[in-house]
Amino acid sequence: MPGALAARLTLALSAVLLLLALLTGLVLEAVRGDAERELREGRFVYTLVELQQRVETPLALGLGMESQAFLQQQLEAEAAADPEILSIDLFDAEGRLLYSTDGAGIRDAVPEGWLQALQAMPAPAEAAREVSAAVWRVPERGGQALGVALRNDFGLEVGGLALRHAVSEIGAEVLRAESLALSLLLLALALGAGLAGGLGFWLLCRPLDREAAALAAALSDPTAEADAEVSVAAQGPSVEVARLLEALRRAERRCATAAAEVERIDGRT
Amino acid sequence: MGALETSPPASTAAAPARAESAAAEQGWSARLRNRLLLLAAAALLLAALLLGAVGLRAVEQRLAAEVAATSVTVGRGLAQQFEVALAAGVPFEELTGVEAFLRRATGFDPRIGFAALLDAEGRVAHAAGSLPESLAGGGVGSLEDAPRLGLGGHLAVPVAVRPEGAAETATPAAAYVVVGVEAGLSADQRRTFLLHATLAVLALLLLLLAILRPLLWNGLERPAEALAGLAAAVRRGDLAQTTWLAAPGPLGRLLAAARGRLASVNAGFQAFLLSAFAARAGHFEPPVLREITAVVRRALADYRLPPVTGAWPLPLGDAALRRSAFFALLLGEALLLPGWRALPALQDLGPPLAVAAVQLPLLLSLPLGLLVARRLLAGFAEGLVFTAGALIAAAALLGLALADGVAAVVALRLLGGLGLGLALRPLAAG
Repeated sequence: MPGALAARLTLALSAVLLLLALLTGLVLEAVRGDAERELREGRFVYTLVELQQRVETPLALGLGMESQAFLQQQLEAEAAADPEILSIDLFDAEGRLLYSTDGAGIRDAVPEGWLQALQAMPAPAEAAREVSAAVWRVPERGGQALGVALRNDFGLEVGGLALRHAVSEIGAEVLRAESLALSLLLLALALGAGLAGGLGFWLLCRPLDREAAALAAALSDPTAEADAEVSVAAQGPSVEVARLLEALRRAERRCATAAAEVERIDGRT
Repeated sequence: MGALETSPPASTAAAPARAESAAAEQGWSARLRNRLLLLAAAALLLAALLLGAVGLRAVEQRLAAEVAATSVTVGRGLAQQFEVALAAGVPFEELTGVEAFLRRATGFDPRIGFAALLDAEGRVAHAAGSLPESLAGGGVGSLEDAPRLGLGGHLAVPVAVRPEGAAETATPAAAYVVVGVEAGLSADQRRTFLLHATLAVLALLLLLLAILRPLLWNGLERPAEALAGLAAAVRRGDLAQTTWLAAPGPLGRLLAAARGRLASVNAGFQAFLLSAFAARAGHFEPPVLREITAVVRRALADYRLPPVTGAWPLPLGDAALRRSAFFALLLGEALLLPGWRALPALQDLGPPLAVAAVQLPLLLSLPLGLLVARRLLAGFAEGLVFTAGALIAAAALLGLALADGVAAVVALRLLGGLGLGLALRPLAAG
């Protein structure tokens, strides 16, 4: 079969390119996930910090959190603005829930893990240097809780704000469809590159294939003219085959001459 | 050389043949092999660039929704403050400290490039951060129906500022807040992608070379070496050696034709000898017998014939086989490259155990793969066993990219070693 070597090389190249497409898809999916998580968390942290300022400003005026009823409305407005926010909770230093957007409303205290995360927060001066240092994170089933500490003017911790959000639950169907489309696009590109590489292999191997076919024909035909078999452009084994053919012809000639001589001696007597 | 010498080829005769065939191997076949390998590597690298560029673009397009949502969230927070001022009757032109207020938003996240307050006609009233030229140069026109703005690599969604309590559709916006968030991936995320993609491409480049080298060795270099060795032997008058090598395509047919022509020459000599013996048997005169003997001696001078119509196999060099084995060993190590997710777990084990967990499974399963392949080769074609081994090794490579625990690394290294062993055995047999 002409181009047998090129075909084998093309198959190998295509297999490796398909692997490349799969690996590229995996890495891109991981990077996209990281970027989305980072953007989403940044957005939620901004919301938390905004709410924190709105709660802490009245605290400086001497108002207690229990008396700021307008906060419930603000929390609900923020929670309604983003479909990925599951709930926003405001609680005091003992973990008692003061305001919450949680529709079920069956809790009156926040989970123990939130309080532990709140107590593990760095000092206000240290947290003020970087926004992300002032936020605690607690993973939850199907999502994550982010929170900030609420402090009064004396720097004393009076409670906390927590925002629970889903992790890629909303729009998962769309995400899966987009991931599939991207994977198919990458696979199609890899296959195209494999075919282009195969064309290159075929073009590179074609002179050798033609030359080898012509030389094989010359070797198979004992009656061919001496120079006919190496008349093609010598890019392959023409030189070796020409030498081989010349040596074989010499041997054939010597054999034929000797046979004729023996026949002559035999016939003469 | 004797008339009917049937001893195997002498090592002194084989040495120049090997040197000559090695020289030939460095010639046209080496040139073509290098070109083919170069083409394959270039195809892989170009494909990696293409896939990377297209994939990154697609990912950045998919991120646009998240970027826009961030712009809206930050913009809404700022707009609420301006709405308070608007409700108090303070015109925007008389507001003080707006730049500092906007700067607080731009300093919140490095992805936020700028924040600006635009009047109802889309002209910039106050701004902070590095404002894009299109915005700094006089504004962006009416923003009434603009869902998203692409501004100098940033994506911004205008958020309308309306007096508190005003209906959204009935009251025209008094101003707009525009917060530009870096569109697409951050520089850190791009670096992470480039690092991982480079490691994957390097691993695949080694894998590609490890697969192509044996293919080229079987289909190009070894036939070329056999052809050159055959030509050198026949030119020396050694007709007792031939090659039994089978190769795909026209090069294989050329080898078969050379083998056939040599067999035809040998058959001619055998026929001549038989006729000479027959002629001798029919004569009793010593001068005639001497004459026939002299003719036979002259005919066979400088030629060595095979004992029967068959011939001794031509010795071929095994340098290419060693190179293939070396590449396969490199492949074994390359299989580790995508296993970056398992690095933390391996670090926890400590250096001696981590090295043992990575190396021992491969060293144990490689001989097992060779043994299994030996059995398989009794019933299956070499190509089939090689392909199966290569596919198993490739599956292990792919799996390592997903492995994040020591047990998974050990299992995949065992699988990789088994695949390598299966793939190596047919090469050694060839």
